[in-house]
Amino acid sequence: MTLDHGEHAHDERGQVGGIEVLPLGVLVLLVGTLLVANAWAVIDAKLATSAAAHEAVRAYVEGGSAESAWSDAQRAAADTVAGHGREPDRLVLRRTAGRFGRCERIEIEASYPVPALSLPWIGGFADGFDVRSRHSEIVDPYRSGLDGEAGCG
Amino acid sequence: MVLIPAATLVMLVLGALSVDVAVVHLGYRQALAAASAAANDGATHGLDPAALQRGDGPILDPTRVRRAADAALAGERAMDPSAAPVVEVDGTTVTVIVRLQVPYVFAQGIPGSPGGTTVEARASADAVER
Repeated sequence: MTLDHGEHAHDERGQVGGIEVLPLGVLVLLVGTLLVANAWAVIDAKLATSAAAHEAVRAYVEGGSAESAWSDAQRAAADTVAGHGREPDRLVLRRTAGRFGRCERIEIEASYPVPALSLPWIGGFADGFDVRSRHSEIVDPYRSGLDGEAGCG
Repeated sequence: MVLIPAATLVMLVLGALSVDVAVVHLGYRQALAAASAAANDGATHGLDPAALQRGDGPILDPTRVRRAADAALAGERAMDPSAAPVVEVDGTTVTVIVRLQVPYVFAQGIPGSPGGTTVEARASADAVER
């Protein structure tokens, strides 16, 4: 017995062929979206930390004393991070070079944790890694309010 | 049926494109921060101490300005090796032009596409008495 052409056209056999591509496509979309979202989370954190390090160094070199300069730097960095929509409590600020004094090059590193898995609107899961930024500037050799001579060489 | 994978691909490419553009913007901001720090250091550390002691006011010494700006930019890892930073002294104004190489994140994976781009930032600082 042979089937005529019309029966072939309306036959549902063969619909399974290629249907496995759909979950694969969904998987590719899912993985790709996660990849882009995580890349964006890192870039966003880098923008926040680089701005925080910059503002912290500016506040530090303009400070009145070593103690107040560091607290000024921490406050400036926290305000900057908060302005970027991040949590200031999670920001870690570290002075990596220099001490408070004329001609000293002050370098401050700001780091902020980025979760391993970032999902849009939902948030992050698991500990990922820290995004770090550094910035440095010289304390003005001729500024007022500091002891010592402006002999920077 | 064919439109779904095509739309998926288009969405992913657009997402990757936006990330790469953001990376370039981040690189520009870093270049601007480096240039402004170098200009600021040049305008303070570059002052001629002898002129200040004589009471002649803020006079910039181009050699000291250049040295201070170079020291400020020495820590920048992504400086374009083919273009040295430009440091200009005009009166009491220091202008620094910095070029940074910014590698793309996703576009590097596309055969034939450039691996990155170069951004240029310019910043000036004035030496004034206060």
